[in-house]
Amino acid sequence: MPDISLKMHPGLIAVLNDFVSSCANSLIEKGLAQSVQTPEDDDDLAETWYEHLREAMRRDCQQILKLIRAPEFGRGPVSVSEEEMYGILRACSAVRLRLRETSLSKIPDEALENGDLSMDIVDMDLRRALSAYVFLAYLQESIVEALDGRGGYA
Amino acid sequence: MSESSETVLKPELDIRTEKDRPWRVIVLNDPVNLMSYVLMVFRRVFGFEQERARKHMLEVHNDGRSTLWQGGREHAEMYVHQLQEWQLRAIIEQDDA
Repeated sequence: MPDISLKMHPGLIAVLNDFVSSCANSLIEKGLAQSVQTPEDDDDLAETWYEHLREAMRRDCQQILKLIRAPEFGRGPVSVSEEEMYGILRACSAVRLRLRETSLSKIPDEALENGDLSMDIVDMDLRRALSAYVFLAYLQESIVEALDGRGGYA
Repeated sequence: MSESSETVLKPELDIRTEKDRPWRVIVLNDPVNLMSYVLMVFRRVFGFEQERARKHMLEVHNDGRSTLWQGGREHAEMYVHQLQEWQLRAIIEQDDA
């Protein structure tokens, strides 16, 4: 089984538990990470479509919660299955999308997209949200690179 | 050809019915998803080779959108649903008449 191994400052672990958990839990409770196009001319299909996406996102968010709540997280390796790894990848996107809509809404899209982000921000909540956002990008990229190295796309 | 009459050539009409026009799977840019992640998703969902996936990823990034696939509606919807599960902004559009 693949391992996710990270060594992190306890302060960062606390931030992640705070912001990532909060976003992931809010996504589990309701809504989607972003608005989606559903079939326009079939209400039943649109509803099924939406509910399938909700269920998939709930499962993925539960994976990332399981990861960051693992006692070893940030201190050593955490074993995950390949399927769980993909769920974590999708959840990273979902949580980052939700962070953008909520805590990071004051930061321009261009700055977020280009990574032109300064940590010299006075507002502590904004700094923490940005830390979580950047960390999740790092986690995602690391997992993608690890899967790439293993030829794990198919 | 006869001199006393004109032969009128009628243009060939190519009327595609609503049902025949193919549907396109389109991915739109967003400021959140990483290029490496998007590339991975394209390879995984469509089975693209690295270069083709990269071409589409760069189209999304530079042009704001890319058409990843086109064909029948049901198949297009299946792809869009998968892409949305991967948290990409995916839509379907029908080709113009």
